[in-house]
Amino acid sequence: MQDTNKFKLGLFVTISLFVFIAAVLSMGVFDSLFKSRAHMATFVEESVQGLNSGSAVKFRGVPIGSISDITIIMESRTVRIDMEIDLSKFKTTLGKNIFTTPSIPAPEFYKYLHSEIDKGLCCRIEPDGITGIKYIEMDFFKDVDARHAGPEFQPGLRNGIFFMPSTPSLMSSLRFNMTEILANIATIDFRKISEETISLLERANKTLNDPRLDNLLNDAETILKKASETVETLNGTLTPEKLDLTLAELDKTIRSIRLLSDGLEKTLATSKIPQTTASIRELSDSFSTGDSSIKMTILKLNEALDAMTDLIQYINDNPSSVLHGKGRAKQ
Amino acid sequence: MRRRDDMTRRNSILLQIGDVSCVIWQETLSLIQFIGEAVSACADAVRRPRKIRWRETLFYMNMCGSDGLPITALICFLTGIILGYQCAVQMHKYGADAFLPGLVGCSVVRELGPMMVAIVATGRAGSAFAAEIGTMKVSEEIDAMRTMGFLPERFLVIPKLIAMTLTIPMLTVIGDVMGILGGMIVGHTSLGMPVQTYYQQTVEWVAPEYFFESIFKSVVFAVVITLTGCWRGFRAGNDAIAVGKATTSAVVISILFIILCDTFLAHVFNTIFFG
Repeated sequence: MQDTNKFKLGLFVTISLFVFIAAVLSMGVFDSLFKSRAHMATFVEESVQGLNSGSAVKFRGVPIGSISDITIIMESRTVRIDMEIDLSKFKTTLGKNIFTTPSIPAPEFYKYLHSEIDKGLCCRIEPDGITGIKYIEMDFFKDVDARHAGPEFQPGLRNGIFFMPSTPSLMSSLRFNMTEILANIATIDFRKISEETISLLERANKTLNDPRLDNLLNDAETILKKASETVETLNGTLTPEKLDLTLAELDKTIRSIRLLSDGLEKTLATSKIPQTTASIRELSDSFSTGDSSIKMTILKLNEALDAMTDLIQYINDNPSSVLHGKGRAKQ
Repeated sequence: MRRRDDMTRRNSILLQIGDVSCVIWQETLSLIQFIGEAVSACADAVRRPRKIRWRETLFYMNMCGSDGLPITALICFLTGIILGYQCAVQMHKYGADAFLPGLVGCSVVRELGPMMVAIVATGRAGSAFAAEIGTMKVSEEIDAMRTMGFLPERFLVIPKLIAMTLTIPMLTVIGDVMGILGGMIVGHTSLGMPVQTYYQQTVEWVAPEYFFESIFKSVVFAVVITLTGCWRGFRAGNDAIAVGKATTSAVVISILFIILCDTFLAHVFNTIFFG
């Protein structure tokens, strides 16, 4: 057996160990031992497909931690997502060397979260590209309602875990809206619309095939032709000079009408119309009174004529009464 | 007439299947027996470490580790480049360039690194073990050992096993890093991804557990390669041709067992540990 090249073997072992230690350190194996962490949880009412233990948690796009557990709450049919937050990602001082600035302690971080929640901070599931992988995004989402319903969903620190409010993901909202739109579309009676459309088309077809429509069209065509001829005649007749003359005469006429109307206005102003009207009214009243007098007179005259007729009749029957006077009535 | 019938019967397919089944059964029994002897030898070595032939162990560590480092590193590096190129071309079509470090890192660390190192080690060490023990068998050295009261398994297998289980994980760690470096070069040159970004993405995607999975697999592969090489060497015939056949079968069976073990381990790790 050959002798071992111990230098080569030592070099190999040293390089291997160095590479191994470098790889392990760069992978952050001992991070959990030295880094301070905070625990958070949130509840969502949608599918968490694409979200796994170890998925990223980001605050306005900055990776700040990972998901530690995903469980189902049976009573409320919601999904609870537990997260571990690396507090070294949160610094308190601006403008200083970030490597020497210490990370904030967990109670201060929870206090900070509380104040930010009041300003609208909440969690949302976001897709990470087209791969189907998802992550938790913490941000100030505008025009969304963070869920606060129910005591278990109220944000705050309970049993060492900070509960964050959540809001439905964009996809979830989109799916809900789409479902609603589709439900509304489903209520439309397409069959009835189709039948009505067919009926309308049939009627339109009938109307179009009606021979009277052809006559109408012919008449319309004739009228249009005549109108066209008239327009042409007018064009020929109404030369610009004639048109100017006509307009000038029209202008004169309008002026005369205006003068006449001015004169009328003056006459009306001086004609004491109220007094004249009152006189006419009085005259009318007197006519009305005279009319009734005439009626009375005629009635009396009528009565007189009746009496005369009776008298003449009596004389005719008893001529002697002219000499003897009116006798007694026979019994 | 009877001779023709005998010929027909001898050449019948069923007879051949029967023969192959018998051979497989005998080989399986032999393998189980050999594994039992090796385990017994290991237990004995743990009880009495002074009896382990450390000089030979260092020699095999040098042979399998130090001597195999350049070719292993080169193969893993080139594997990383090939994987990086293929992924870069396909992923660039879908605008998924950012996922290249994760894909290359996870593939190399979890599967390709241990696998490539194991295949190289099979070609270098497994075949050497089979040839060495087969030659000793041809020259009746093994029979002489048994006659003198030595246990050949403890004498020949334990140093090789210790050397392989120590060096293959080391080679795997280096192979993993070289594969990631290969992918990094492709990511930087083909996709214009900054080295720092590639590194950060790799660290983000490749969990520390993946590294330990890689090392665990490499230990299993080292045991498989050593035991298969030694077993085929002990099962070799008594002539030069048989040694060649033992060497070939050692490589083929080792690769088969490595793939089988990798399939099983991939399932176990994905369902139990990373499920």
